[in-house]
Amino acid sequence: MDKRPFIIDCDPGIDDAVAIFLAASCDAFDIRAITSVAGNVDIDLTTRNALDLCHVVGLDTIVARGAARPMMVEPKISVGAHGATGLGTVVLERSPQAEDGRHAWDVIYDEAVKAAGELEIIAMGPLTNLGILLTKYPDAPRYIKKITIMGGSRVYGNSCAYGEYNVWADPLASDIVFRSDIPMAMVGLETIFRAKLTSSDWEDLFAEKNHISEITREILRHKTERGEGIMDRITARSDDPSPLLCDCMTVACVVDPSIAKFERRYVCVETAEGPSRGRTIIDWQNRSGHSRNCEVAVSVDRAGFKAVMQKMFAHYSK
Amino acid sequence: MDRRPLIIDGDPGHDDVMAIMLAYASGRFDLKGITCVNGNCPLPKAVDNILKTLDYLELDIPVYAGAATPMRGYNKPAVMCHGASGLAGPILPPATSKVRDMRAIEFIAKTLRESDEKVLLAPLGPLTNIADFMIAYPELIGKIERISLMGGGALHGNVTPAAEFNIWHDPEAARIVFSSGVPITMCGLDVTEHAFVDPSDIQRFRDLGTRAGRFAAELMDYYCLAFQRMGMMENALHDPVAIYALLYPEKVETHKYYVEVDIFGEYTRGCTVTDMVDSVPGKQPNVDVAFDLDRNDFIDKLCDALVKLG
Repeated sequence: MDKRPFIIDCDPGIDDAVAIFLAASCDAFDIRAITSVAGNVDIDLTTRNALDLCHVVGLDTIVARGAARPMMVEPKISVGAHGATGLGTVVLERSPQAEDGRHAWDVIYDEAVKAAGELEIIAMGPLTNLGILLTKYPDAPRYIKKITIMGGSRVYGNSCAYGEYNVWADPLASDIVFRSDIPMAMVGLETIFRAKLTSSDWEDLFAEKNHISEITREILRHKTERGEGIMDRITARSDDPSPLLCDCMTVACVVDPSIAKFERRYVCVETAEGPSRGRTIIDWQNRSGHSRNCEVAVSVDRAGFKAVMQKMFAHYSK
Repeated sequence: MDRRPLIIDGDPGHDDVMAIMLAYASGRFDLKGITCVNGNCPLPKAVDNILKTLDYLELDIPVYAGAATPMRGYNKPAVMCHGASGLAGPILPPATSKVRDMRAIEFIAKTLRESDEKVLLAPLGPLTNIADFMIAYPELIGKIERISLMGGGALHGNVTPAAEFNIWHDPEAARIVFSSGVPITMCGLDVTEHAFVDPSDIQRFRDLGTRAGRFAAELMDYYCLAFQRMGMMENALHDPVAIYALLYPEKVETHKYYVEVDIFGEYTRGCTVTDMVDSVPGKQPNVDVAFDLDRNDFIDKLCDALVKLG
């Protein structure tokens, strides 16, 4: 079986860390690079974490430093949400590997050309690197098969009423990606929230004891539940302080698309400053007349997601 | 029981007319007057529609003309839902009553100034008149008891994915009203989509045997057909919900949130940004946002009104 070439663009980040563990465990994926972007924490930390996460999980791949700040707006980091290092209180063994030296967007372009149109991208942070890629290389869309983003939301946001952080943090880059004609899939905040694993789900998963499950358990200890309490009320879930792993669920939807239901719609991004900045506007009624550019995840099956996670932890016991 | 002073502001408008009938027939309001605004149709047609309707139903309520355009001067009538006249469907004799000379905002000011108690406002169209009033007479804003409006949507829009027609039609006016500090009940798409009429409801209006019932059935026949032609199944009776929420607040599910009208967004201009996730700490919730109602009771109360009107 031919492996699928992937690049993972991320801002580790507690959530990204577990997502990288998941992607690395998938035999069908040939991960050509991990590219870092500023987001959850600053670029030095996200790049450091990317290197060390690859090392801890035995993933031998390019790690390239990406954008330190959004294309146009001021950067905004949620202080404290991921701990001082971005991985909670966990200190990983330092990777002996060095950064690639090229910019993330140059690596993405080079790998896309090399993969002759088969390269897929999973983007789990602000879309700055992809925005720069598309600006610098107008022919990049020819070589990219699909971009799946953890980003946006059907309704409820976190950075503002309807704005999910990744899109909100760099609305211009997000806008460029959504208008790029590259096939897209979007796994948004609200959809992810509605499929959140419970604390007892996590206890079941951690029963599989190995190096990666132990690190995961430690990393997740830090995850603050600020905001999720309100989401619980909205989605009528009981107040369960279990961590919300958006990036992980997004990768799971790529690993096993059968766990999610997607609907194809025209989606655009509000870039204006104001209360709607970063909103993903989804034309559910198909009245805009624009071609439908995005597969929007409308639901994820929680049990299916749990099974993907179970398989991941089992992989690391071998 | 004391009748509460009320001014209805609208752009009749099929569902505006139903709302006016509900308010009048309830007997629980002292309906001081109806002010007309540009929205569903151009202002002169709105005025004519309401005069014809009131004459036909033999209701003695004074009518005042308000803003002919949104605050920023352009024009976008909703011809598709309401027809070119704004009240397509039933054929009514020409109006014999006349619109009053006083401008709508002067009438609102006069009513509030002269009233011993605070006055309710029920805006059913774009908020141009209400905002104009607030700008011209800020000292009287405190005499508004509550605004129960049809407009907005916390979860989605209609004319655009984000924005509902009334707010979209005049976002600046809406922003002024929503930030005024007046208690507001927002009956937006979130609740009004639950207030739909189906063919059996329309037949029930007809079967009531009153002139008002037949009139309502003819209105609804056109209204539903218009939506079908647009490929939409929605037959939501939006405006009467704003009146129903004043009459039976216990039957309408509301949550208080901080709502800001977006005037900035390229795609989101005219939407009611409703912070249901508490994303902006320190912002005080300012609007009672309605999400659901008892549809069966809503239809029952409309039928009661159509019987009362005869």
